[in-house]
Amino acid sequence: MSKKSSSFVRETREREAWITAHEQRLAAEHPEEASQGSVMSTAALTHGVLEAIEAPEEAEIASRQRALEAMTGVNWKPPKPKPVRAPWFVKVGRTLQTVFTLGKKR
Amino acid sequence: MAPTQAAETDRALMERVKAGDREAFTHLHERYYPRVYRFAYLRTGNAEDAADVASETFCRLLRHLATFEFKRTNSLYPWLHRVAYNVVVDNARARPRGRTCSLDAPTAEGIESFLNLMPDDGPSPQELVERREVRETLLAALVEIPADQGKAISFRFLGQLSIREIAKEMDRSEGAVKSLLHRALQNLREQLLASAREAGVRARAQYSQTEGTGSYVQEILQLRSGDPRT
Repeated sequence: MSKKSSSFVRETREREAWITAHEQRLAAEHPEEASQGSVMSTAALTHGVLEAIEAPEEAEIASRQRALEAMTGVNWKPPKPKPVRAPWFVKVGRTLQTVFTLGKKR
Repeated sequence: MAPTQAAETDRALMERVKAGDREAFTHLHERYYPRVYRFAYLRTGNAEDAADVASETFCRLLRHLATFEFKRTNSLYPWLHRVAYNVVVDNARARPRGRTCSLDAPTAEGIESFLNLMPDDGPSPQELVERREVRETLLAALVEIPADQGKAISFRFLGQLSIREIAKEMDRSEGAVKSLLHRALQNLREQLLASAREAGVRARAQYSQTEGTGSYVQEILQLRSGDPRT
């Protein structure tokens, strides 16, 4: 939905404040190129024009429905975690434990 | 509930989507559909193709859900941007390069004045950006700029990524991203001013043609009346 007030200019000044700092630095480094004018207005125009492109509501609803229908066909069961295999020393330890336990009982 | 959902990060929502949460998907769709649509409109130049591209992008997101992961930032936009771009290329519906839109004289003047003065408020800036010719001229200029500049503009103005996030996504330093964005905006400014000046020249030519015809007619009338001044 486009904004009916011209807040995009103010928003751009706030959000793209880095442009001013960047241009000041450029002007200090290359004073001969400083007269080209600030690109802040271009940023504002870009921001305003892109914001003014309205996505048709019916298209948005149709897209959401199509995706949600596709979602029903997806297998949502999370993959079963593979059983963790014990490292060799754990296996040896367990075997020894069993052997000693059996030995004690005898 | 709503404020929590609004604040929920893309990463958290995607985790829920992966678990089959339809509501989480709806939130992501609401958040990103207009941005993907705008990007698609920018590339295809018409509403119907843009809607097709945006819809297919979200379906591809679901198809790649199992393998999807956030690589560099917590924003879903860079992935959507890449997929939407691929969909446009696959469909071969890319906006023809070099497409131009002719501006009428008042619109051209409006653009020139905005770029030079940038008024803060009032209805004129909003009226300007809502004019079809302005949108067409800017979109044509955006397609004309180098690909990396266009990508940076898309990340910043459509994806609303921070400079740091763009730097991570594009594997560049923050300073390099600022320079890239600045160059992109400079290119856009030059192209917009060139279009505006062209329109101005055209309008002046038309005016002088009319003037010329007028004086020609006057000359003829004066000749017929036998006015000695002729």
